[in-house]
Amino acid sequence: MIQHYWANISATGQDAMIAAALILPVLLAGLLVRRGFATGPLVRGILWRYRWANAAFVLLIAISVGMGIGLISQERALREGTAKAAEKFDLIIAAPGSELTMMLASVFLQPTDAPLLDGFTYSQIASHDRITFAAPLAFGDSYEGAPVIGSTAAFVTHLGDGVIEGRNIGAPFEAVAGAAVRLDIGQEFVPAHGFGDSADTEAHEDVLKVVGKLPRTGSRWDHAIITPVETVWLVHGLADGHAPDKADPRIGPPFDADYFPGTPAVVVKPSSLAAAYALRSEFTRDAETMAFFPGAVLATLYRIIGDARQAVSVMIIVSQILVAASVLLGQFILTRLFKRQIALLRAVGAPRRFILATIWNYCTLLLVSGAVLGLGIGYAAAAAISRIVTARTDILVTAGIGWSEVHLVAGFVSIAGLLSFAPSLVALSKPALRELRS
Amino acid sequence: MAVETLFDLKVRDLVVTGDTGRDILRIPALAVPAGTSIGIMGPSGAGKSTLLFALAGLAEKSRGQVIWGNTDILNLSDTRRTGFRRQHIGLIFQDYLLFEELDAIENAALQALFTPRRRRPELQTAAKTLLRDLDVPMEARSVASYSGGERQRVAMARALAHDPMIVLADEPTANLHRKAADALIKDLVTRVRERGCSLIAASHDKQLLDRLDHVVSLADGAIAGAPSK
Repeated sequence: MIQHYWANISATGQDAMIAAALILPVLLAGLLVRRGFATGPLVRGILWRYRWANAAFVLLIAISVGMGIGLISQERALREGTAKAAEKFDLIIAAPGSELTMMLASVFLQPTDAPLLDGFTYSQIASHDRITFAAPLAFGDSYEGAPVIGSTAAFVTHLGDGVIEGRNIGAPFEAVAGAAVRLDIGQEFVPAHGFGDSADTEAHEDVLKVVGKLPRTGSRWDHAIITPVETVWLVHGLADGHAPDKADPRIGPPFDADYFPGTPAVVVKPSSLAAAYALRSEFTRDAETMAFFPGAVLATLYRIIGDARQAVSVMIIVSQILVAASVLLGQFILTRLFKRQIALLRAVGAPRRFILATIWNYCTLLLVSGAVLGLGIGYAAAAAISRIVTARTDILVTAGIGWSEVHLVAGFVSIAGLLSFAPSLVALSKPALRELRS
Repeated sequence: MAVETLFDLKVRDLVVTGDTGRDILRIPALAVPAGTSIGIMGPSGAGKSTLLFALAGLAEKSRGQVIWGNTDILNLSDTRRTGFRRQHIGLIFQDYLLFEELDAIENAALQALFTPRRRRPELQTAAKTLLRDLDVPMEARSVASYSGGERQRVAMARALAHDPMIVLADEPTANLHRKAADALIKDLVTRVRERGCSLIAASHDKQLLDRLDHVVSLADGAIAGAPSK
């Protein structure tokens, strides 16, 4: 019955309830111990008197918590960023080989040598009645580090969600540049053969002209230059995918299977989810084609690296336990600073619970301040790392504070908050007289 | 039975043991009628402060009897002993022991922080009245900026604000210059007499001891002769 109710609560509701359950023990303990007492003035006094020690202590907690938060947040942001980058690639059909390699080549534009699909296979895919569109991807050239990819105008529209500054490719040797490419509309360039250090800038002579720019997509494709696939074929001295006797030279589908030089991968937008599975099944053929969902390949990858993630999670938890232990040690040291005040309170008849509540309140305030500041530091660190990762990979990584981080902080505050009773209890066990006379 | 007689002090076979296991105070018998002021004199290390703290139930390793009225404070649990101090004893220390970051009113009304909510206004009013009567500036600034005399007056107000029947003062004038010490002595003795409290003060200060009803001399942790005066 409880399971039934739990299942009916939204994910956010469940997360909020977990966070509340984590913080509840320390909240209840605080309410109980402080009941009927006014600890505020003394806590304020202690905070002010030892402000530098307190500030250093809060900062130490904040940095420790922030590191844990930053790690969790960054890991999730990276996962979400890569998953988002693969969003535009529902289904990839390629020649049999490694799904991972083809996924990295097509989604993340990592150079690879891949066998080609022939025109007949391409026609089969492109003319399938359960697809919205199919676009070939032709790799191999680059310009100043930006991969030049041959595809279709429909793919450009798909990638930019219909938004293009300037216009879409409409003729061979035209190009649309990704948002991060340092080429403006109207600029011309000669692509180099190959990629990276081995790129041969002398290999081609054909000049391509940028006619449009894509908006930022948050993927590696922001760094790519897309040209009609015919350009890539023509630059390499191949047929252009269309019968040569046609009077009207045109680009884009349909391609003539007999004049189709081949493509390493075809991006397919299935007409429905069911169609996606049907197409994957239909085009998974031994020695002919391989069809895969890049999202699923990424999920497998996450699963494989999941063990490492678990190890990181355990390390984060262990580090937080160590932080809690250090916090406790710090609290012992700090409470020794005001041992005379504790002795005085006992002398003037303050109940043990009042002293316990005051010290606990003070310790917990430092703890909560550190944890909240840590949440901010974690967020800032994750955001900074995200910017670096985004700049370096062009995969839009946006770190934010999620429920995992809130749960980690709530758990940390709760456990460390409960442990904070220890310094107070130890302080109370010391004879008051010695401190009063010192 | 009159209220005052509830706080007659009877000490019997009081022995306080020090950290080294040696007996540092031995008082076979001492009687102080309620409302009396007693000075405890003696050289440093004679056990004056130890006696004072033992009378407040603060000496951990003590045995025998310290009976205030009908209550043997040494026979009480720690919680009840603390409660007894809270209700009936006001303490004044040589080095004031104020909360430096709080202002005069907050220090004088310290007990309000752990007193039931309904009694807090009464305690705060009493603290303010005492501070005003003792000419302590009641500005919203911490007592750290106050002179020694002013701070000891704040401490005196704290000791009296909850209207105790017993005031125990440990070298209350030791850190004050003569003029401030004299003013404090006058104020302390006057207030205590007005209220009918018992005052027991450990001190080297002849001016203070002269103003009290009796003086007990301590030497080597024992009473050295009958109370004088």
